[in-house]
Amino acid sequence: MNALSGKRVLVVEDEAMIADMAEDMLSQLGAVVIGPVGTLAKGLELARSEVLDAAMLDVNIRSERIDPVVEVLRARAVPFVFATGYGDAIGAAMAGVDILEKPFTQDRIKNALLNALQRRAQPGGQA
Amino acid sequence: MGQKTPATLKPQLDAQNAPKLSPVARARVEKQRRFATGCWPREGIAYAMVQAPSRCSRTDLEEQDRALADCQKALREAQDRCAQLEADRVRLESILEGSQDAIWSWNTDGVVVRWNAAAKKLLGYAADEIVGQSLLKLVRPERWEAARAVMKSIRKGAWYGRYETVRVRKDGALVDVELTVSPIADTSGRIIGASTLCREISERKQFQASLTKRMSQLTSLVQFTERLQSASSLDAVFAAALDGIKSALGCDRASVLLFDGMGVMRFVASRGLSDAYRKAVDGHSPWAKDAKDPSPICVADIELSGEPESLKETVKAEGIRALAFIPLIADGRLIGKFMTYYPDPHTFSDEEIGLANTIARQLALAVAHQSAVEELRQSEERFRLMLEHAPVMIWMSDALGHCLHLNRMLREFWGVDEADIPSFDWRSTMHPEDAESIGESMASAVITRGPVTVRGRYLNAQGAYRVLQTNARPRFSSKGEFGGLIGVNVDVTEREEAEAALRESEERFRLAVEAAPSGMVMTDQDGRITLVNAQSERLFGYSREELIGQKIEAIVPPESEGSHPELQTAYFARPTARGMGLGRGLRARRKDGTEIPVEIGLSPFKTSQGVVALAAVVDISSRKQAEAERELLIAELNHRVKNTLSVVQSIAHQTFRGAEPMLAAQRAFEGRLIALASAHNLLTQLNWEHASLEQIAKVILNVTGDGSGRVRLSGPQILLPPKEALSFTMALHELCTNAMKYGALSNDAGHIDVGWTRSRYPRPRLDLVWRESGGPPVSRPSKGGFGSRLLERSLAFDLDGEVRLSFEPSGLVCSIHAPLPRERDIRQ
Repeated sequence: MNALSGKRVLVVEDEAMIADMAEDMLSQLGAVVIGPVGTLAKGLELARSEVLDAAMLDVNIRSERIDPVVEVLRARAVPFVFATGYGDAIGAAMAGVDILEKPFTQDRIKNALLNALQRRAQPGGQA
Repeated sequence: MGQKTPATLKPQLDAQNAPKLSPVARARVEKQRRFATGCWPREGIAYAMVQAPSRCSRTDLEEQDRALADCQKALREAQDRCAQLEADRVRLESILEGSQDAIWSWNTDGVVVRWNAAAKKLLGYAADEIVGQSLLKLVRPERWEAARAVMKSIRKGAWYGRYETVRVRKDGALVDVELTVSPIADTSGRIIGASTLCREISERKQFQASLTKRMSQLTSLVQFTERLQSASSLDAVFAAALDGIKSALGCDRASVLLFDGMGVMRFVASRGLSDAYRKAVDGHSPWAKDAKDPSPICVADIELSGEPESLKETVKAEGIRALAFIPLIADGRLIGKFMTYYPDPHTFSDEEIGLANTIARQLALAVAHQSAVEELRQSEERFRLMLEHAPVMIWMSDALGHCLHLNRMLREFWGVDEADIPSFDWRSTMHPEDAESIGESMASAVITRGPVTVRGRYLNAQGAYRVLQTNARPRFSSKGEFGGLIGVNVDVTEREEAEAALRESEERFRLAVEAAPSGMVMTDQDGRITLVNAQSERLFGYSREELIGQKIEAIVPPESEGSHPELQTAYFARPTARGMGLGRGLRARRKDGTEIPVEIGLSPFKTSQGVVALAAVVDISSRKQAEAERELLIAELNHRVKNTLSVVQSIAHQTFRGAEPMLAAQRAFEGRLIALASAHNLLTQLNWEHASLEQIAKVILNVTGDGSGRVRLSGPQILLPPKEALSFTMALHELCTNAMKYGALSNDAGHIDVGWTRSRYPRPRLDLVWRESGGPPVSRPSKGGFGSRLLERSLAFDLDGEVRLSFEPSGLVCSIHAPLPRERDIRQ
């Protein structure tokens, strides 16, 4: 049994092939992929409407910041990780957020999401 | 005078007694009678009585009667005359005895015959003690010869009136007298003696003597005063004083002593004193230096004085018995004394002391005056020497500007002898270029009688021009009359050169600062701005005038303002050339309040005003921006590379997940990677800004190796952002690959039309149709491979649009409908 089994994970990624691969990897980990979607509008829609356990978000979606989605997720206390090629460039701006660096592997997706889920379980986590 | 007839007179009378009375005899008788009635009345009468009978006997009776009557008459007359004579004699006798003048008479032998009461009183002899004695008893023996000569003259009828001499009293004392000696003759005119009228004149003598002495003293005093006044030195004053003292006070030795600088009384001049004596008593003073109103001290006889024995011995050894100390007082202050010395005991009269005091006053005054004069002379001499040898050039001019005096240094400068000064024309030494301005300034100073400062070049004795700075002031006499100028010249040639060099250096420095490409700001130790350049004005937005004098904190951001002075103090404590606040992100405040990032280099250097700091301020705003952009670019590049790697990873993931044989999969992967790389190349060439649809299509057709022209492209130019461009590239690659494998390009007859349009309303969108024809018959693949998945899913996903594949019998048709970014959003 996998810790991510049955977890509903939202994927927002504007690069189709990367989104495809992420979906594959998450599926293999037993998670239920919500999306993937490649626009902010669709991301927002899913973030609001779907039942979610976690989210994997690209930081820039077609030149727009993912922030509105983050806000919704935070409001719903859904843990999330950023998948980004910027490295830790946004780390300073978003302290306490798990960064999943591109290119990623299945293991790193798993660890990042588990970390995020675990943090939510702790009191005071996910500021 | 005695009652008896003098013995000497009788023979004379007898001798005249002739027996007959001839006319001659009668005349003689008459003469005798007259004489007798005058002097000798008794004898005259007796003679007349005796003569009468003898005459009767020689004449007739009548004659005799007449003669008798005459005789009787004569007798009566004689008797009357006798009575008269007796009365006269008594009167004369009382006059003689009552006379206040001593009167005596003496005979030709010089024997006293008569001596009146006044004579007794004057000379002490009673009449009976001296009558019959020689006159010489009254004369000093040394004058006897003279007295005898006088007697001899008297016997010859000489008359001595009022001559002064000395007579000896009975007690031996001498008496000054005035004598009048008159000869006494008998009736026949024979000198029979003389009378002496003697008047005492001692008082008059004394008075005369004292008058003479006084006159002599006054004369001495006057001479002394005159000499003092004409004295031109202290020595002359002392010489005059010693002469005056000696002659006025009648002493044979004298000395003058003054207090020296140590307050010790020292000999300054003396007459007739031995060196040994002076040495022995030098420094001795009966008064302390600050004695109040000291009085003269007179020692009438050293032997009887209370002085110490040793002093007495010293004084006596010098042959001095009496001496006097007369204080010299000037301005109420004791300055010394003068001394008089006498070989014998000497009684000092009030008069002498008064005289001594007078001399002392004059002398003290003269000493004080002469001392002042000499002091003034010395002071003037010192001043003159100072002026003469001063290490600056000093001059004095008259009211017309001609040289009156040049000191040694200035004479040497010009090579002028002192004697030539009156004819020396200093103006001729001026440099021709300076002559006018110097001449004007000096002339103006003379006219306005004001001070003047000029600087100019003058030719010196060596023929070189030197720069002299002249400071001159007007000089006025004590009456306030303008006398010309007095000035000092200082050779400032070297200073001038140094100043010029400094000015030049400062100018160079200023120009260098001005030309510096950075903002240059100089501050003093108080943190005040003393110099800025044009760059600083631009940098800080202040004008130069606004910055100069400001505290440096004016251009320091508010958050650093507080700490800045402290840092500045620390810097000046150890000033070194270094960058300021390295790594601290320094900022400067502009006038408008905005801040700019700056880099500051500090250089300390010493000036005459102390250490100052020169800061070179560089505005690094643009560099900061460039740095920020570069960082952004690197981050973006990193992002893109990682993104691309992710894409590659996903291509690999998709390609190798399928069931295709490994070789085919490998070729497909390679083809996809090459397509990706081509798109990258294209985008890189276009700066990753945009790429046109046509360009993308051509690149892909090139990559896939189909240049046969069987693919026709038509449509307007549409610019795609990099991401969309990549998606199209990958999609077109898949379509091409598919066409070459299975579609229109898999045989020689097929061809492909790629057409696209752009519609602007309601939103900009792209409609592209890929239509294959002439290829082998087409059937829908049994299973959706990566190609169709990529097209239908990924492209639609990436474009946020719709992609439809339709496998029509004539060939594959792929229609793509995607929103386009507004053109203005695409960076042109």
